[in-house]
Amino acid sequence: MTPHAMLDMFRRKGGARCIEIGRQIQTYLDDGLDPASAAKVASHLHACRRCGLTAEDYRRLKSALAETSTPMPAEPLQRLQALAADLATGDKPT
Amino acid sequence: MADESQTSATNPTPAPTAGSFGTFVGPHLPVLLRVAGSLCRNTHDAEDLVQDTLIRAFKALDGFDGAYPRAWLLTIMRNANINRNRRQRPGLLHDATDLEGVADRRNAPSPSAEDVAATRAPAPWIADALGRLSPRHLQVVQLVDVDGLTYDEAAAALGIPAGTVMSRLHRARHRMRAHLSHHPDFRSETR
Repeated sequence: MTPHAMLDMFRRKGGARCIEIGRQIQTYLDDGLDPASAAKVASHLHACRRCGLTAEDYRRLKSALAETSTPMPAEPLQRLQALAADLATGDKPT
Repeated sequence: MADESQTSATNPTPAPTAGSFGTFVGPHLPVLLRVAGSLCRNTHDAEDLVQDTLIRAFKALDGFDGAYPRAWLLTIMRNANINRNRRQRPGLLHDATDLEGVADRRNAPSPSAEDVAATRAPAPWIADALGRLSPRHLQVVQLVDVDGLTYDEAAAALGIPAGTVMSRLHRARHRMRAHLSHHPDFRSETR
């Protein structure tokens, strides 16, 4: 099969759509798409197993990364809040 | 992702006054401290950087219109960090706006993969994937996916266009996913 024929077959099977969606998956997961585009991506991810699995990979990755975030220690935050309050009341030189 | 930057355009935050400064910055302090931790070597320097940021923000309050407060504070933090680096390492910074360049230098105050792994104690497979990223890619992953900044906020913190943040972030995630596609822990949890 020639490369051209393979490309035609790929397009007929919806591959072009997958490429287009693939470029938007991460932005979609970051809530960065407009509502109409987001709906199109969501619909495709529901219908296409391969793209759905790709999106699931990125969801899992984002979730795992978010879980590495630890709560800020209380003491530095309290000191910074106190500084902000002091600045507001003019108790600290600026 | 937080959408403060999207809602601020339609619902602008009232410009804060000097008297309301504490109330105004209070909700942003955890994020500022977290981002400072990503920009500095240790928690002590991070706290100093946020202190410097608060003082600068207070001085600049009159010129602030209330829109995009977190991005405004992050921009101030970025500039404060540049000045701190110039004072501490005058020979390393040739361009005051080149925080990206700072991140690329191994001895600059950008978190290494080892720092991230040590302080955040991520799952081994995540630490492994993070360790393969370049400093630039690691930095945007840290700011957006770990610290929870929007593209615009990360752009403000780094002094680069939001589109650059997005492209670096997407490329970084793509590389992490490609690496992890052969990792048994990642695969078992996703398929």
